[in-house]
Amino acid sequence: MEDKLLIWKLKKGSNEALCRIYEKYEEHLLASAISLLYDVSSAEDVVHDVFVSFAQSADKLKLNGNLKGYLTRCVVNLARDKIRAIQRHRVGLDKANPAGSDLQQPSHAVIRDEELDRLSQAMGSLPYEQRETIVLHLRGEMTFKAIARIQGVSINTVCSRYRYGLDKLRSLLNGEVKK
Amino acid sequence: MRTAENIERFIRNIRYKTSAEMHEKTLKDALDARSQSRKVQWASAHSNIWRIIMTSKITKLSSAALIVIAVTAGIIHFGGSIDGGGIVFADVLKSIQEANTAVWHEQRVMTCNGEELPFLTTDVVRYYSVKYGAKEEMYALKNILLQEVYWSIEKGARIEVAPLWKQYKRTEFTEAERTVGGRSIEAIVELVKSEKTTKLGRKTINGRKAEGFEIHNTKIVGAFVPVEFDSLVARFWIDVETSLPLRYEAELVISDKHITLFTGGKTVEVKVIGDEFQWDVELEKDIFELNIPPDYTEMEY
Repeated sequence: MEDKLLIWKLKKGSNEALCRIYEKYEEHLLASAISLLYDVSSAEDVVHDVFVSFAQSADKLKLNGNLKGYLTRCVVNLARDKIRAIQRHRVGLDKANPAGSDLQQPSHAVIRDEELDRLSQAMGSLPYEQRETIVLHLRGEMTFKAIARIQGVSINTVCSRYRYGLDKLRSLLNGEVKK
Repeated sequence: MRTAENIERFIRNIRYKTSAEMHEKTLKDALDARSQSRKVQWASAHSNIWRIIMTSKITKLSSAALIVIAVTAGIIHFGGSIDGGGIVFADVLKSIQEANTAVWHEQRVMTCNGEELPFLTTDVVRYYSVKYGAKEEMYALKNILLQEVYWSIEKGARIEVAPLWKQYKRTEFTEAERTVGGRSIEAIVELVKSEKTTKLGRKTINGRKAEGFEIHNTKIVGAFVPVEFDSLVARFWIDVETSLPLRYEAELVISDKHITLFTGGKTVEVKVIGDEFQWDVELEKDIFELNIPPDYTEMEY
């Protein structure tokens, strides 16, 4: 079913439309969140929270682009908040424990899909801005211009982040550099 | 060897199968959130209607929490039901006096030409305590708290609190409220002595044997609340074994312009059902404690 029709039905009170949207995008959103967080349980939390929030505010939703892009942006925003929270927590722990902590490393939750696991590990070694740019562009189907707007940087910066990120991913996945 | 295009395609197309547990939980929480959100929006959209309703006299219709006790006691006595096998007024009054607390449920359904007016239908939870007074919580759409009303014996006042609008109102007890609140048997008797009742016989309610009484167009309601109604029929069912009220039902026909405002001038029928009585239960003091948040303002009406 077309997303516009699903949104229309959802706004009219259809629970079936809500289920349909969730089933249509849950796997996509979860993979996006894993790409950003490299942690299955954190990614599941993000998708859960994004979807519950979407359900709460669906009546106010004014979609400019497509629904997939909108939901991916929500996942990216929440993942960014989560990363920042982890970093804040890490700073606190570093002060208390200068030897470091597990939070500096990606989570150890098992990712069942081997290819996704490899990609997640590779993504995890990119700077977060590059990771986010790749996810927004390739999975959120956003233009560089739109990404520049939400990241508050120039379009050239976005293009560079994307190019450097993709180059590094290629090197990592082809085994040219060590992770 | 992966090319950049190959990696782009791979990233675009990756999917990750969610666990069944996560799938169910997210969907359930999303549906719950959706349902709650729609209720709140509905309430908000009808906020003005409810605001008008709150200003009308209809919310005062059953606002005297103790009315059922007074009426029940009175009609039983003056309905001439004192016979060998019947309910005895003295027993009822004694039972009510001995039951220090009560909790019960009341539903008010309003219809016009047979069609329910959903925004006027409310569920009420009532609490009563000899020591602390009485309180009612009025809900719309099952779980939106529209109004709380406290009858404070200590303050001699009725305090209405409307959380949706963050407002409250304090009103001194009416004479009738003071009478029942004071629990003077003589005063209650005086209040209800002119009422005529019809005996309805016995029936079983929730496995309990009950004796019923019916009254028409009683003046007692008017003594408690200033409501104009065209007609009223009320039935009270008393537990034969405990002599305590088990259930009451009332049907009113109202042409009051405050109400017919919502129906284009058409008469509104109101059905009130009070049931699920629990007598002499333990009620915490804080149920009756009035805590008005500092940002609440006095009601505009």
